[in-house]
Amino acid sequence: MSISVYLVAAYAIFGALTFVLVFSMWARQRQLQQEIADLASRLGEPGGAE
Amino acid sequence: MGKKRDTLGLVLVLASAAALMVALGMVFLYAPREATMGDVQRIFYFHVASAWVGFFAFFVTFLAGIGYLARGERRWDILALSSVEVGLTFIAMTVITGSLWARPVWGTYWTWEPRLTISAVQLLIYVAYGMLRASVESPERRARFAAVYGIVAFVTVPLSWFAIRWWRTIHPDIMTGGEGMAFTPKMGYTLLVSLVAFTLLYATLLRQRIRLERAADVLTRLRLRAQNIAK
Repeated sequence: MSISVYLVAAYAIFGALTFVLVFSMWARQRQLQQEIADLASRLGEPGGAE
Repeated sequence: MGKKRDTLGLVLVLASAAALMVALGMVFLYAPREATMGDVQRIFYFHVASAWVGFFAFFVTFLAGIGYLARGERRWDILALSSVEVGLTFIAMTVITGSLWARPVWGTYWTWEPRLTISAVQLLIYVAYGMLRASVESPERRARFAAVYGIVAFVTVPLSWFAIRWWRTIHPDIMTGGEGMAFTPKMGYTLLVSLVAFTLLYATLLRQRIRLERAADVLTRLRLRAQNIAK
């Protein structure tokens, strides 16, 4: 019984860490885009990071 | 950014998601139950795949460090930094899931044997990479120091790889079929698909992380321009 708990825990860790990384990148990207858009409009430039 | 259609990004996301689903299906439905360890051995597939990606990510940082020192271009620094961040996540996965595998098999979550010790040290060394970057103000010096650090830190990868061959260790060696593990062809295919899935996931995450760093550069340039106008 305990063995399957370790198996489930291990795959939950894979999922959780991947989610944390993806979410943190998404949140930072969103924040950066917002700041770029704000600054670009204040400077009268078209906003765009690429 | 973000408004343009990112076809390659979308393809990578879909391909890595599909490959992970296939890998998960094979881990739980296709790969046979290992005779000695039982179901807990199924941790092995993603554990090895995440270790592979972590090592590969640090190899990319090593190459990017050389690229930066040779060319001095920001894009090499961005690649090195992005790869470390993604690689650290995968090495953390490797260490944690390895502990979860070790508990029922070895009777302990952790033991200070060579492979595990080197993995822990490696994790700390690459965490320190981020601390080093945060502590240097000048962008050029930061990139140069980080490049040298990334090259030197890479020594932990071959050390970790060869630890189970050079020293007496209880960690299984998958290249010899896994001591104490009955390795069948179905297990081999499952491992192969897991390796492909994790490599695709690495490529997807690395690409997104690079885009993030480029956006940060754009913001820095805009801030500088705003400061110059304000003066």
